[in-house]
Amino acid sequence: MDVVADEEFSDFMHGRWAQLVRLGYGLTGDLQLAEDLAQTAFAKAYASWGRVRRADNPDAYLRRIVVNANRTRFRRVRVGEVLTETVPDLISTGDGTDQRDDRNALTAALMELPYGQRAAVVLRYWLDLSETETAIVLGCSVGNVKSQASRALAKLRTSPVLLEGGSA
Amino acid sequence: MSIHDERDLRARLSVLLDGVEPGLAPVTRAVRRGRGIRMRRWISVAAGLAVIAAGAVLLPGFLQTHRVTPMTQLHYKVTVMTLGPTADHGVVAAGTIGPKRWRVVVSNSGAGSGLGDVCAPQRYVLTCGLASGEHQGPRQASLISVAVDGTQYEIGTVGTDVTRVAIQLSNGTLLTLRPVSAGGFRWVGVAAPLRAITRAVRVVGRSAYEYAIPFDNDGSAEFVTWLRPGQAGLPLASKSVGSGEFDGVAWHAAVHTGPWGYCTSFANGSTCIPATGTPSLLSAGRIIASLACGPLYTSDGRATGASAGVAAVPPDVKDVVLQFAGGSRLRMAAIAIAGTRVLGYAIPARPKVVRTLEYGVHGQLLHSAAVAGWGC
Repeated sequence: MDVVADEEFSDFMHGRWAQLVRLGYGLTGDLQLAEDLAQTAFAKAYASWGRVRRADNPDAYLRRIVVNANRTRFRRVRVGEVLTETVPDLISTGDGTDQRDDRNALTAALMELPYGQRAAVVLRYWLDLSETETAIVLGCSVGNVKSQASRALAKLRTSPVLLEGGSA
Repeated sequence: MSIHDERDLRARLSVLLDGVEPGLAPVTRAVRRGRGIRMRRWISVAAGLAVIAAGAVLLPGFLQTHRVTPMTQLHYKVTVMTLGPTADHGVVAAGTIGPKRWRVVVSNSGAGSGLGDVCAPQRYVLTCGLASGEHQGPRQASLISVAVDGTQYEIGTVGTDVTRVAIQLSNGTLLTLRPVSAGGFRWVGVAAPLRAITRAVRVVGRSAYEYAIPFDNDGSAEFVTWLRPGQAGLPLASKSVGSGEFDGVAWHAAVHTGPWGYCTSFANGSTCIPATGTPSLLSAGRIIASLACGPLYTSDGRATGASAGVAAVPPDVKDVVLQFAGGSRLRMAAIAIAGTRVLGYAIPARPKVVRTLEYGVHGQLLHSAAVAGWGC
């Protein structure tokens, strides 16, 4: 790749890095894993930079890589590998305990959702993607997005972690 | 806290996720990995193996993936040639990766190579100074990892009783490395694509003696701890032990335990400590033991005026406070992992620390000591 293209890619990555890491955090609850997922997505984007730079929606491409890379990780966990003995580290930004507890409780509640529901929640309600855009990223139908998001919301409403874990 | 409706959920998610503060974008590393992906695609296409990038995220080898899912390419073929017992022209290992020949050469630095105890990697040739060899006990073996342009090398020396070292690859291939003598050492070496090496077994006589599961150091296999058959080693765990920003440069430190031992990764790379059980990281009488330390670099490789590192503290210490000469303080939280407590930090390169204070889990002051310096 030439110098100009490298500079384009650098600008592209700087501009989207934070949002993609935050998406990864919403899916994993682990900042380091989120950064690794985002880095994987950008590495793949670099490898196909000519195609990505011409794409109508390169953000959708990146998001889809992050969602799929993490889905693969989940499949491995579900067939019996134990990656860690402890819950992932939770973020701490040094503010009040109640706010931190709320965030930690929400993270824990998200991690209890099935992966498809969690991804639907983060894409729909944090990134504010439409149902169609969410379906493209998840690689499923619009109807599936609707049902996943609806089930997730129902579970979060009654989540014991949220009802008991955070501040009122 | 409870969630009542979509609007509520949006607000909560916004607080949670917008509050996440990632480090600086690691552009250089992403570019390097991206080039590796392109190279692997090219090799696959050249070999007639249509590997579609989106479908190329394959199940990585067991225990190899304590971090992000690697791109493990199974469509490769690695071979190792059987050489004589003594190196010819310094060649201690040779073979092929696909159609390409690779070789590992040791060179006498006194003869003008100037390599000394370092290795000079090229894509298909690794040249190491004879001084990089280490004398081993009769049944011992030690491997070092060197990576370049999508290829990783393992080179090391083995003791007199070690008859061979077996290397397992992620595609199921088992490679046998037979020691070759050069410069008073018995060498073994192998080359393979990044992330392909999943296990090593050293063989004494005719029996497997010990095995090692590598730490995945950015695709390169780091063999640190050797385990006897049936021995599990440390549990798998991966924890962030510190993160922050120093003069605008984001840093992040993590600790990864597993059968490889005890590895730290931070701004300056990774380093590992062999361990099969709870590691004894503190020397007698020490309060804080530095596990890894070095200059803090920006994501594009520029040095800053800071040092970053990872240190161990006694099990009852929850927080460590550094009190600097100017009166400012830095509080660092120690994170429990695999039976010990560690913390990550980034501080000025030559800090004038006048006192360290250690606090327990209930916030009580456990120890306070005047110190002359701290860090690297």
